Amino acid sequence: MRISDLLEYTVESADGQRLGRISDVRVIQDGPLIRGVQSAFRVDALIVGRGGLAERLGYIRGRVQGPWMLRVLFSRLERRSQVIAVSDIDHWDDDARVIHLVADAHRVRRTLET
Amino acid sequence: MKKVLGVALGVLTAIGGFVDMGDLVANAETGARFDMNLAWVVIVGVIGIVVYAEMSGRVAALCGRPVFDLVRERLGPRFGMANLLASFFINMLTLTAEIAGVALSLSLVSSVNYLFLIPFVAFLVWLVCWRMSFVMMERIFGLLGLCLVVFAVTVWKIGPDWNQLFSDAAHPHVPHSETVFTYAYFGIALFGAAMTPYEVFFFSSGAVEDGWTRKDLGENKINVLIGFPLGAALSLAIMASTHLLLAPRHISVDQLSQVALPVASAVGRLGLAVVIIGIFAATFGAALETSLSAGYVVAQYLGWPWGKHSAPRTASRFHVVVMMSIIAAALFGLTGVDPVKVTEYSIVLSAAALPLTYFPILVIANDPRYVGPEHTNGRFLNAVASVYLVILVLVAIATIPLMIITKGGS
Amino acid sequence: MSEASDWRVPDNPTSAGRVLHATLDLLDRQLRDRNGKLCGNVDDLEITRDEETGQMFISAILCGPGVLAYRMGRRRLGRWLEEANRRVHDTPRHHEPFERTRIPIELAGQVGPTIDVAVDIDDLATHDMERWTLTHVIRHIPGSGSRANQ
Repeated sequence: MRISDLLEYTVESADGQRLGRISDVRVIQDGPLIRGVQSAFRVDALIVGRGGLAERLGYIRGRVQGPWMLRVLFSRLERRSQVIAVSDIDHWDDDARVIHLVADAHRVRRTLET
Repeated sequence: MKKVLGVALGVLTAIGGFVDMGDLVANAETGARFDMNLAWVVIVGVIGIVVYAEMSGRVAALCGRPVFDLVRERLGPRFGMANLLASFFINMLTLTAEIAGVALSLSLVSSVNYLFLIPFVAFLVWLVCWRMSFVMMERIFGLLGLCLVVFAVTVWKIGPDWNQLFSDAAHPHVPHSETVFTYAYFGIALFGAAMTPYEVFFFSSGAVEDGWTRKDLGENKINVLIGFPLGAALSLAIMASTHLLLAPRHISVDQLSQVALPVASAVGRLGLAVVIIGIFAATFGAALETSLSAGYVVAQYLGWPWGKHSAPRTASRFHVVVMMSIIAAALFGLTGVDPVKVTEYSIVLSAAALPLTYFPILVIANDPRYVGPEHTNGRFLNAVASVYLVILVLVAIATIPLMIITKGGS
Repeated sequence: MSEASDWRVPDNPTSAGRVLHATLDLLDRQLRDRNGKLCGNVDDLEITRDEETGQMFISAILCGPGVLAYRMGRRRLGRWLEEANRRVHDTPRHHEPFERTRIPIELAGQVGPTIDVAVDIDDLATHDMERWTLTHVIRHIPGSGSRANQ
């Protein structure tokens, strides 16, 4: 599938609560070696909930520090995004474009840094 | 010594290249209608373009990426596409105005109707974009553009009351014959003429192609900090000359020939010849830059190879876009559309579209991943740049309503 | 070309590998081929799901005519453009037409201001229109070949 397709999926918890649409995908370059050349780009987590323009521009996580006016503006508009570990995925409903998660008790708590 | 010469050449080219059809029309018209009451806008505008050009030049030198390439990458393909369509459309209007300007300047010496000259001019512009050494052409047209200094000579020859002149400029007010709306509209036009976006697309793409690095940052700053303000001084000379000679006779500027009138009147036939050379050089140079910008914005958004230095066959689609743009602009000009009106619309809409490209550059100039941690904007620059962002947004919001209210400035 | 700035990567405590965000760091990046030529942008990414382990990988970079249109929502237009491109390109085929818009991820090297990929621009669909334009338009205009005088 393409990432543009994936970005249309929504994520639901085990009890049917809609957590939001996938807005980004976190990738770690440490997967099994393919052809012995490069580490595979393993999808580590799904980012759910719109990070918005602020994230795209780099104001979240403090990479871009200025100008002061924009930094303040964007931190006010910062949306809370949730990070869903790939291991939390229970099953995919490709027709409805929904990803269902495992029961809350079994979920791994993740943040943007971990 | 050679280095100093090189820098001087760069500065002179920047001065001569600052003025284009938009500046000619805007400064001449406002001088005739509003006297010196809008002179302050030129100053505000030149500070803005200095900030904008410095940031884009720095970004281009430090990460090898020109403006439009980064627009898609930072704003995403949707905003990038909207940006592309707006910029391309306005660019087309500007190109039409510049080509018409070249044709008009040639018609002033040949007494051939400018419409007949448009196809010839378009071909010439294309030929230079296609084949000729761009560095050389840039130098030639930049230096020939210095002929516009004859406007400063004109003002000096008229010998105005200098105190009165500066006092008028320093105490602006809305003239009785105008409304606050037309005042604001022409203010926006002047602002858009000073802060032309195509200049920045061209400038940053050129910087990438020329392989600017950290070492070139200093030269960039000098060209921009000295060249542009002196170019703005030339614009103010144009404004002063129409204010002093046309306004008292209630002559308004609605044709390019009237821009040359004060010079002919004060300096005579030699002055007229010089100013026509200057107008030709300024508009031709601008036509080259706008044509290439049309190619740059499309190619950079879509990731095609682009460039003016290497042979055309290494960047086929880029050159096709440039060629098509020149043809389209020439065709539009041939419909007989009023060149002065097209120029007015192009600069006003340029002003309105400025936030679209200024905003991402401002952010990237602050992003250590692109310019490196030591070269992000300093606090003072950020403060000034932020003020300008606010100004640009306000201008953008006000433009269309003002255009409607004033019915295009009449 | 000018120097690229230092591409700093945040430290990640849970894994030894490099952390990237697909939409921030990979999508819409400029691509360069093995000779340093500009060869399109990352228009989309291909993700492969391993049904057994539940793991997902980014398996390819997608780029070329129609791919961006597909991503921006014009699914049918995107597919049509990809199909049209297959008809246009008239050089001998090394791969199946679909693969000309697909760069396997293992060919991607440096991820920075641009992403370097170990392919030749001629292998990519993005170059097909360039080549078509070259042969059918540009070549016919005199003076297209040699470098402009400096």
